[in-house]
Amino acid sequence: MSQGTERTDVWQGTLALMVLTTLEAIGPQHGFGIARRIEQTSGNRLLVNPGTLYPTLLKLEQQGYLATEWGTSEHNRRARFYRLTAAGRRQVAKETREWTTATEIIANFLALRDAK
Amino acid sequence: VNAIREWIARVVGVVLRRNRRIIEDELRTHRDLLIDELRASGMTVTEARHAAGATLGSLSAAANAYRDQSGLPALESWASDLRYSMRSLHRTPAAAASMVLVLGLGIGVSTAVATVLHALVWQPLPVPDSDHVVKLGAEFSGHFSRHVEGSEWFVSLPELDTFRQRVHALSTVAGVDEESLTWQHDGDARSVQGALVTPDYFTLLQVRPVMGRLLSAQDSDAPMTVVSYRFWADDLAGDPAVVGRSLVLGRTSYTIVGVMERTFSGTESEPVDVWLPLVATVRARGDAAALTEPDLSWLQFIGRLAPGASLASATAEANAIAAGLDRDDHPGRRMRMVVTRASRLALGSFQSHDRGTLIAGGAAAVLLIVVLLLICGSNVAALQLARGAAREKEFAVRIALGAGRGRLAQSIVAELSVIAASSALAGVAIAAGLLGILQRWLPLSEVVGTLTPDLRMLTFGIAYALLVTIIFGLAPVRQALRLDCLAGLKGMPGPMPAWRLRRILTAAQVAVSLALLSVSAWEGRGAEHAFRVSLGYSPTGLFIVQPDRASVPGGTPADLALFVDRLQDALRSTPGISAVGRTLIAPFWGSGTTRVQIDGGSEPVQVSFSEADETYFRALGITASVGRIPHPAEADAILVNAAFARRFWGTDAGALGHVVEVPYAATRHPMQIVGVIPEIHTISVGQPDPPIYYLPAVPNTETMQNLVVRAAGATPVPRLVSDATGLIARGTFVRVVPVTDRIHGQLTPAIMGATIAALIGVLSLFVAAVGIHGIVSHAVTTGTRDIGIRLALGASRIRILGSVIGPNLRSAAVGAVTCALALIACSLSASSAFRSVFLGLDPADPTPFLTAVLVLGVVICGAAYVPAQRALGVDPIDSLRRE
Repeated sequence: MSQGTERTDVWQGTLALMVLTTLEAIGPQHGFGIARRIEQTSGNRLLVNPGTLYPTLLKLEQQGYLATEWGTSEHNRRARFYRLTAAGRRQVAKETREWTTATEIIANFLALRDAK
Repeated sequence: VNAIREWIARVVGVVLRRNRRIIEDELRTHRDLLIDELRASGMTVTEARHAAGATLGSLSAAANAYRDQSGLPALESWASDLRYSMRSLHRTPAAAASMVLVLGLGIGVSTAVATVLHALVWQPLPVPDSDHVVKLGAEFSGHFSRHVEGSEWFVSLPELDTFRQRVHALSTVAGVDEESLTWQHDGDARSVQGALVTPDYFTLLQVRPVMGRLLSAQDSDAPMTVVSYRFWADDLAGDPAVVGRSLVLGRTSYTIVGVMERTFSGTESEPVDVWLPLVATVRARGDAAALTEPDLSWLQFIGRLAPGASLASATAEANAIAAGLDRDDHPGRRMRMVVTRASRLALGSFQSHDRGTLIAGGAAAVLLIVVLLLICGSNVAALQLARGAAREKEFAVRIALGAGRGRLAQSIVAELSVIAASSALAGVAIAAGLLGILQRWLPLSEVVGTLTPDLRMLTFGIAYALLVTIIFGLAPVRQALRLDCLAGLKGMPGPMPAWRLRRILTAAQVAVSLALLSVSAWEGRGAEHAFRVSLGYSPTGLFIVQPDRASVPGGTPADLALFVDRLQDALRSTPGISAVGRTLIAPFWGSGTTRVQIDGGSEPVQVSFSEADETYFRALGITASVGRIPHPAEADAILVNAAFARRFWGTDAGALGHVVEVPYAATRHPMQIVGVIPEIHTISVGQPDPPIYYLPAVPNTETMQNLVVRAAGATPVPRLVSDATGLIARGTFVRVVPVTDRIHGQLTPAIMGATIAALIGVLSLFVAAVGIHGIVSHAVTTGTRDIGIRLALGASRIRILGSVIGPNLRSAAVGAVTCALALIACSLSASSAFRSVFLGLDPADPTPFLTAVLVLGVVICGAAYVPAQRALGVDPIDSLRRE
């Protein structure tokens, strides 16, 4: 699977937002699909471990942002599908705002360095 | 909100445990999908499997991470720590049991003591808005003459009315006269506790009947009564139609108008059976004069504070009115009013000479709680340190295996929580058991109702236990973390904790244990002494015969006097009875004091008094040591006791012929001393009577209501008295009490005190022994290597034993000597108080103290020797090999 570039594990705390935005974009998906999609979106620079992914999915489910149901995958395998709930959608909007603000602030600081 | 949802889901996860299966399914799917993908890219099945395995890593680690999220990992680790600590405590059952027992005793005993103290002293009356109910007492000084029935603190009805009208800080006032009455029931006569109350009594207390109604101002002239719940339930068999039934008390029939609510049983220490209207009852007895007599102490005075009024404002106002009474009617007298919040403890108990005892008792109880908790705490600390030292190796192993500081602390805290929780349980059980025992021994339940452990003290005790166990229990963890774990694994001792404080504590607790043991030994010896002491006469075969006035036909004082005359005559001629005397104050039935003037001196002096006819002394079996016992006809002759004669004239004979001016029939009357009787004990068992004078009997006197009967051998005095009574006036209730019963009654508090002091002494002894055992164990455990080296270098085992036990015995000795010095100083400086508390025991009697020292010494040496023996068993080779 190695694409030659160095891959890092997802940063702590950011995986939840990645999962939520991914599900918002592609609709209901099983864990493997979510992991694969996140890796693709990151340009294969991130590696999503099942050991990190599934606890995060469970946490989001416990918080009420995700709902699950058993379904069948494209290869006819029985899999658990995750989809966003209404609360999950609101959470995506909220976290997106917060991230945008945060990245803007950091960008300003990085700009100071560039201007030197 | 989301955090809460998450935690709820986690708890559900723990309970349902279905997440385990889900994650296994899910991870399997994940792997299969990956394999599918890899095969699609051209791999064989086997290659795809290998690649998937390499990419995914350990699926069980993923499942574990998932489980941590799904359940409550912290809780689960606590649960496993608890299981571990149970096992570890099980391995050292003696140490664990000692800690639980010591802490449990600390919690239990302090809770029981605090509960009793609170119930007696602070617990307000069980009435609505009890914060505003007060008791008022009067204190008189200066020159005055006043008749006292009951307590000096009581007031007269005219005084009560004055206060009712003038004190605005009190919205209502009421008076109560509590006395025992005779209940005539199915041809049987029985004594019941009655309370004669003014009409405002029930409105003031805001109590309610469970049936019928209470007394009110309207029926103050009718013979009506309210009965207590207990009396109704037990003595009237809970009759549902009790209202309207009649109750014969004395010679009067009272209609029952209501049954009092269960929680209320009066305002004084004796529980009341029946409440009667004061004015009607007293009038019916022909005692109406008492209602208008201004200088008579007979009514307990209670009041309710008006809205906005305080104890201070009520006291100030009451004193201003008292000063007005002095000014207008009693020049030379000073009346002072004391206002206290009403609790069950009778105001009379706070009378000048008892007040000190009460306060001392309360202070001693509080001190006891503090000392007990400190001692228990310090001993548990010692045990914890000893246990910790013994477990250093275990901690070192756990650290070496990668246990973090927090994880180690958590497992210790779990263990300590088990100890603290068991101690709390033991404490609750001990407190409840102790209260049960106390209630059986002391007449507490009648005064304060059923006692339940005081929750505040219990909580405090448990919190204290938890704090002590955790603070001292964590010390070994700190040590273990500081420790080089390699050294720990080899079994090398850690740094010794500072023992200085510990030594001081040992000395202090030995001192306290010794003091308590001495007190109990003294009490025991005092009680034994009191049984052996000569009263100056023989109490065996001596009976007190006391008719109940209200049950005498007619019921007036004159009727009673006539009845007593006839009973005395009847008993005199009864075979088996050798003498029937008559007296104002029967033996061991209290005392009366008054002021007299000697030989016309200007300053009155306080002495005791009584009245007795010459057969009274014959019944006791004593004769005058000098002079003679006056005849009834001699109106101006007086008899004094040896203490009286010696106090004023130095010798018995010196008293003869002197004149004593005594208050008699409202005027001062000069009397001449014609005889002196020898020293006898009729007031306190342990002490000879104080200076006392006896007025001679005047025929038909209305005051002397007690007969004292001397009977031979097995004469059935109670039956003879009831036969004689039946012939004179049927239905009259006459009490017959052997003097020996009164003596036993007087010794009961001393015996009880000795028992309680002994119990506490044994408790503190036990705790001290446990503590010393703990310290010596610790010294032996940590010093095993040193001992081994010293043995290898040729030290004798006796020297080793000395070095292990020595320091502890030294601090114990310091404590014992300190205690001995303090006790000697106390007993010598307060020798008379000592004699009165310990029933006349000589303070210089060393036997009790030496007994206490011996017991303490044996126990402490034993406690130190058992672990020290292990030091002797150390094999030098083995201990050195551990290097």
